[in-house]
This record gives sequence, C-alpha cells and structure tokens, in this order.
Amino acid sequence: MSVGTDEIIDALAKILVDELDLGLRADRVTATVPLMEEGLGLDSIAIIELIAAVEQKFEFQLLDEDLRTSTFENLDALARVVHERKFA
Amino acid sequence: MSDDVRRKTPEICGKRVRPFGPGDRLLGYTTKVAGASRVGAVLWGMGIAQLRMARRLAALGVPSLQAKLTNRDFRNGHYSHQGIELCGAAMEKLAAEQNVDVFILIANCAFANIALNTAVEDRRVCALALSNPYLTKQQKLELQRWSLVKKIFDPRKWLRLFAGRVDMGKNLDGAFHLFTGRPTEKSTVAAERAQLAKQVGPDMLLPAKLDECIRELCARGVEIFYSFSSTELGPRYFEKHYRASIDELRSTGALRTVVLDTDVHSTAEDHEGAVLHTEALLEWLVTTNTVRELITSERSSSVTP
Repeated sequence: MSVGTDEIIDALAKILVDELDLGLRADRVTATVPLMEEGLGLDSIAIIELIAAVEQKFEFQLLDEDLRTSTFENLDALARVVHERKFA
Repeated sequence: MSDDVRRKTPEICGKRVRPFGPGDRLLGYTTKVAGASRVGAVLWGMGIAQLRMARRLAALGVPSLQAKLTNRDFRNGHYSHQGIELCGAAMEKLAAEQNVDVFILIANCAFANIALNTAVEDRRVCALALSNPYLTKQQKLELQRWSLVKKIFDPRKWLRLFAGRVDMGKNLDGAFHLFTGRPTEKSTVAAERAQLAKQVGPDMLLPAKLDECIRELCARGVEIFYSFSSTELGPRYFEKHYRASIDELRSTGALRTVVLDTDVHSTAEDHEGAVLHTEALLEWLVTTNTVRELITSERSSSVTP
C-alpha cells in the first residue's frame, strides 16, 4: 500500500482535533504550524498522548532517535518520520 | 550493555495521560512490558527525554511510570504539593498495573529529594538515580534566582506576558521575591511563601540529614546514583560537605556520582544533557548488583501484565 505524507498529515490532524481532546479548531491544524510553544501550544503531556495515538493508529513504534523535539516541530516533520518508519 | 538484558519491547499504552493519586494531584503514563521483571521504575517528569528513557528501561524488561504533578508550576506555588505520599502513590499505581514489587526511583531537582526521602521510608526501593538535587537551601535559592534571570531575558516569555497568556498578578510578586530574596510588600505573597516553605520543609533535604540518609540506604543495599550538571553548585557542595562519606561509599560500590558536562539543570527536557544523563544512568543501572540481578532473574518467573 502506498501512502503519501499528505495522507499521513490528514490522519495526524484528525488525531489532534478529534481524538486528543485538546480543544483545537480544525482550521488551525495545518502541516506547518508549530505543534508546541507559539503554534498549537501542545505541552509535554499532549506530546506523549500524540505519540501514543500515532503509534496505535499506524501500528508501529517510533525509534529512540525519533523521540526528539525536532520530530514534533510540526505535522509535516512528524508525517515524514511516520512515512519513513512505516511506509518507506 | 550486554545483549542478555536488552531484549524487551515496550507495549504501546493507552492514549491518555490520566490523573491519579491523592486528590488526583498526579498525572501518570505507564510504559508496560510484556514479561516484565519484578522491578519497575518511577520517573518524575513527562518530557520526551523521559519517554525515551522509559523505552530504554523497557528494553531491559523494566516497566515504568512517568509521573508529573498536575499544574506543576513553581511560580504558582504548586511546588508545595509534592511529598513522599505522592511518590508512594506513583509506586502503588505501577505496582497495580505491572505487578512489580521493587522500585527504582529516577528524579531530578526537588523531586530527587522527595525520592531520597521516599526511599528512606519505603523498603521496596532498591535503587535511586538522582540528578541535580538541592543539597542546601542556599543552593536552592541561587538556582531559583538563576532560573528567573534566564526567564527574564527570554524574549518568548515576555511575549507571552504581553500577550496575556500568563496570569501575572501573583507571579510577578513571587518572581520578585525569588530574585531579590526579599519579601514583597504584598502580604498575600509573603503568606503564600511562608506556607510553601512550611509544606516543603519536611521533605526537603538538609545537609546534616543527607549524610545520614545516604549511609542508611547504602547499608540497606540500595544502589544510589547521583548525577550533577557541571555548571551547577551541587558538585561543589557535595564534595565540600560529604567528601569523606562519598569516598567511603564509592569505594564499596554502593554510591556512584557523575558530573555531566552540561549546563542544563533539568534532565526532563530534550537536549544533549538529557541524552548524556540517560546514557550514564543506564550504564550504571546494568552494572549494579541489586538491579541487574532483579532484571535478569525474571526469565524463569515472568510477570503477566
């Protein structure tokens, strides 16, 4: 099955908006908006929940080297990691 | 690290971080391990760096609970909520979820002191990994002042203040007090600080007691790992006040102290210091007598999660 990063980004956005109960509006969750700090403002707890949700959704585990802040810079960065680990 | 202890895969746990403990004052996230050993780890903090450590521990067969205070924030006074009963609650939660009955406590900063005091009270603790603890009240004050200076000169913090995203009514007074060491004119802040000191006091570690605690724990066979950042005051206090005890206990192998070449205080955040800390801690863990034996002895008596 060929899955592109755009499809992964859509799935990740759906997790953020619909599953994690973070009160995020769908129109704010774009591929490039920063997930933390001045972007969507996700804190460390939300990031852990996002990691767990992503791993459940895509049925894989992020590697040690993926568990870095840079992976969670925005959905585009996260989607690229998911694609590389799961679909490449 | 030898291959015989690197063999487990962590389970992907539930999506949500749930509150638990007395008054639901804690948040916890468990990294489970199928066929886990009887030893589990309580890690204070919910950062990515700690999740990475949790998974490294899971690879050793050690399940863990990452715990964090709800709304923990020094500026808002929630610091007063921590205590050994909360550490005990985290241990109980992990025991219930993974059927572990022996614990490693891994903690940074003030939580390190709480963990040490918990270990003194609770004989289920077999190992302690403590980083950048407060050793004296003076050190604590200096650290808080330095932290505040860094905050003051961080433009992002100011942006947040001006954007109205932080309630500064109380925080500014509290911050001023910490920075100057003098009470502010507002009696409410002074009262809050007094209450905070009173509540924190019993669980904070004073120099005279530190020596006693470490000796007692070492005598009981508890393995202790102290790590300090090179730019912190801790190593100097440690060497100055406890040199004789440290040398003696180091020589028995009961205590290991490490100074990491990093200028960061917290090992909970994602930076090189956290990576160094994790590597040093794991290297220590697999060379300890007690923990290594507990990790490897489960092969014939696996625990079903």
